[in-house]
Amino acid sequence: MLDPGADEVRRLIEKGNSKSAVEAAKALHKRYNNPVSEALLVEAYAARTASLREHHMTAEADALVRMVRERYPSASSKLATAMPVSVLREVSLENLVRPLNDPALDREERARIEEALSKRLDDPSALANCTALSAGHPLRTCAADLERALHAVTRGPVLKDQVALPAVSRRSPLAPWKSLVRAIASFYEHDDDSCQRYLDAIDPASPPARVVPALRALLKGCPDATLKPAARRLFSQVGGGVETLRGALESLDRAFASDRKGIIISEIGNAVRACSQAAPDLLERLKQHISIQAIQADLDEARVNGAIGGSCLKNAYFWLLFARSVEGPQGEGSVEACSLWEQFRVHAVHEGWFPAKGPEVAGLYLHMASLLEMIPPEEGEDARQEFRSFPGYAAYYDDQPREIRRALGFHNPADKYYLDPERLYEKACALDPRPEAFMGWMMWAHGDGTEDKNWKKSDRVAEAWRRALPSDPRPLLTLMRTAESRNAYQKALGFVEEAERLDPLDPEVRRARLKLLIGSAIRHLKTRKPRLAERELAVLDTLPQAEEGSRRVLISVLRWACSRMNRDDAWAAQHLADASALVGSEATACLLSGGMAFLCGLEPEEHQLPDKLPLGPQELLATVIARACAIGADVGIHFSIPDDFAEDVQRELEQQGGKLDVAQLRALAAAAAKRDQHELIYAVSAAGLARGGTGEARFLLIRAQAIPPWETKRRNDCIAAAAELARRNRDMELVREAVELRREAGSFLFDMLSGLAPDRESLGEHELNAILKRERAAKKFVKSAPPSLPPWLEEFDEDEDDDELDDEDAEFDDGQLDFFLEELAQAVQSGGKKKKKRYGRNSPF
Amino acid sequence: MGHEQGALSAHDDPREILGVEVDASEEQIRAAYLRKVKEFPPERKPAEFERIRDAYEILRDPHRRIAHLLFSIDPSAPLASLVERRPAAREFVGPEPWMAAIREK
Repeated sequence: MLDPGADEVRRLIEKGNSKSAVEAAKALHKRYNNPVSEALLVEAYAARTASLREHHMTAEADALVRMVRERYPSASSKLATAMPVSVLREVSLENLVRPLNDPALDREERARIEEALSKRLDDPSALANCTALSAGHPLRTCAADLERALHAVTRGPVLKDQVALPAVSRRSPLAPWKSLVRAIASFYEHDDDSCQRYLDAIDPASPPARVVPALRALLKGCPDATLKPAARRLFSQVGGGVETLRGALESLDRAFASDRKGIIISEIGNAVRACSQAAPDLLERLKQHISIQAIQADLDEARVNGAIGGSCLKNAYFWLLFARSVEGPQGEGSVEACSLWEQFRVHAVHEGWFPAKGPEVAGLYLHMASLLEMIPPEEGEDARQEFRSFPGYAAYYDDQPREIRRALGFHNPADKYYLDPERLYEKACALDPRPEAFMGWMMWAHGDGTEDKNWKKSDRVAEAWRRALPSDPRPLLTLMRTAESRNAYQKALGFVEEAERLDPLDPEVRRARLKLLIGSAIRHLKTRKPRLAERELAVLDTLPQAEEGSRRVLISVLRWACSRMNRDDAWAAQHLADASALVGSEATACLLSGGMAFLCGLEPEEHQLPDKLPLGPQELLATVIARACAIGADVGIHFSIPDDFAEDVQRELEQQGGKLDVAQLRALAAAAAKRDQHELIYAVSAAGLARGGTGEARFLLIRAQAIPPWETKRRNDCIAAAAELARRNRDMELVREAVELRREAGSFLFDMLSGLAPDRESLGEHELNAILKRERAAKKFVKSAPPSLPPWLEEFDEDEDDDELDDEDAEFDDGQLDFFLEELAQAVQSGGKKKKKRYGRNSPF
Repeated sequence: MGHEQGALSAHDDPREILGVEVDASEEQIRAAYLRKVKEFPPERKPAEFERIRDAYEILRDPHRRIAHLLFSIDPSAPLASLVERRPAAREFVGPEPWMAAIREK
């Protein structure tokens, strides 16, 4: 029993006067010196430390706690209530957990101690052996279970029972350890999803969480640069020698980048040694990759072979790597690449990668042909001739095993078919007769050789196509076009009839007869035989496809030309009025008629067209020209725009481009491209991009056509963005056009000077959006001068090429009827007036 | 190679998804596909299954297979990329390295 002084101490504590309470309790304890008085004193100290903490005197409170604990060991539980978890974590494990022995311990206090325990326990064995807790205390037994489980899962495969740990509840302070044990078990069982789930369940503030980053990195198989040293060691040890190998390969990559040959050779040796220990299955591939990079770095072959422990296998994989390594983005290295692809083909077939006469080999041939096509035509023949004397790759086989050399048994190195695109196409189409392959061959035939021989090449391809795919009408249309270009009208008609029998519903087939008849009518008019032309027009009248689109307009215009040639003014006026009514624009009808007059050889005094282009009050010159272009293009007549018109059209596009629809803009761009009117093409692209929507891909490609070739990066950006958008829209035709434009752009001389942009296969979302944003904002064409040529290249900058281009422009394109509105404008002009007056907005003629 | 299929991005390697070598035959590709489908059935792992199916669609078509073969290997890529996705060995090393990482504050 204590005297009433004890009540006074408690009263002081309740009043919050802890300092006086401590003094009073001290006096009582001095007098009685028994457990009751000690407990009262500790209670007073607990209140005092709590009061100090409330006044943010943490250091003083902690010092007082330490002093009381040392002096009065029974004080732990009482003091615990006064200490935050952060302080409890610093208390020794024994002192921390001792209060947990007390079954009467306050629930809140127990929770605080357990929370502190979960945040500080970094070794379950410490708790398992902690004598402050009774031997049978659940925390000790659980900790011992965890210790055993941890040892088991890290030493070898375990049974599920070994990691069940049913005694460790989710609320237990040892729960993070249970999650870790299970995560490790799942990791070794390759149950990565479960492993991730257990890792997610670990309290991030608990010590087991320190191993989570390493375990996550192990799951990914990628080292994490932020790992601490012990975690990094764990990653390396558990990950095995792969991590050592990775480090060795990274060092070798750095050595190659440094271009210091001695270091490269030394690092090659390290990498090969690491690989032979950690990943012997990868060793041969690594040696092959190293050999190829060493060839590119111009390293001494003997030294490299010494470092990699003998030369690598020259099997299909080696030749695949070698061929890819010499392919240049602009056609450089193409001839050598083709010879290496041939080596690859021989070995791949021998090793059973694919059959000797299957679609894979056909695909390879097409790839080789496309490589050869990338070589500028003027260089192609020289490069091929030079290569014909190449002795081959025999030296590469000197130290090769018999199995590798056996692959060459049926190979004839003298047959250098792989240097000839036509033979490659021919072989590809024979192995895998697909329309895509024949179309590639046909495109090559169109683009190769001189104009007068082209039709023979095209016919040869078309005949092969026809034989291989007899139900495909497309080769017949090619044969029709070449026959028409040679004025073999009946022959052309025969091909059309055959195509119609095969597929009467194909739009191109339906258009073919129409084009042929229109072409024939124009030819008759050119030779001043209007009656024969009228006969063709009568046949045209019977064709249902003549009713489609605006084709009737063109037929009326042709009739107008016949009437003019017959000097039948009344009918001529009637046909022109018909054309105007059909197209809904007198100006468009007049432009088309003027063009037809020029094409048929009608003199100005014969055609009697009005002096001024009769534009309607709201009508734009751009719209009129776009419609005329579209009507002509539909039947194979491709217009160009006179330069004097181009300025007005460009201005209209800049101010009122939104009034033209996508088809009209495309027609204008195509017409402007005929005369390389880059500023006009640019204005079309700006108007198109301003419209937004799915058409942006097309207008980005048009923008690329407008950008000067020396602005290589911007042009390639636009092409890549157009291709990416087209891919997303599944517009494979546009993708093909983008690839073709990239290929054409690649041959430009300035690519050599300005640094080649790498080939771009696809763009990321961010990059694509950035290009789109930039190009939408760039509404005005900015003229830029080409970079000046270094003296050693000036000889290539020849004017002759430009002259040749000009001459070509004056001819019909690919056998199609073609005429220029510039000449048209001259034709409709009645003579004697200056161009400015004819083309001005106020005085169009 | 551009976008091949809906579930695959431009940078996904169908061979890696199916776990087959560059020179795998048609039979090997099919066997790998069936193995993966068992591992990732469509009802349980629809997204993963879709990737596997798309990868198989590329590799089963000889035209797409050869196109992929011709363009997917980059001889100038860093050599470290050869082990980029190589699974770690997952060796049992005993509790000490794990405990050392846990004790490291």
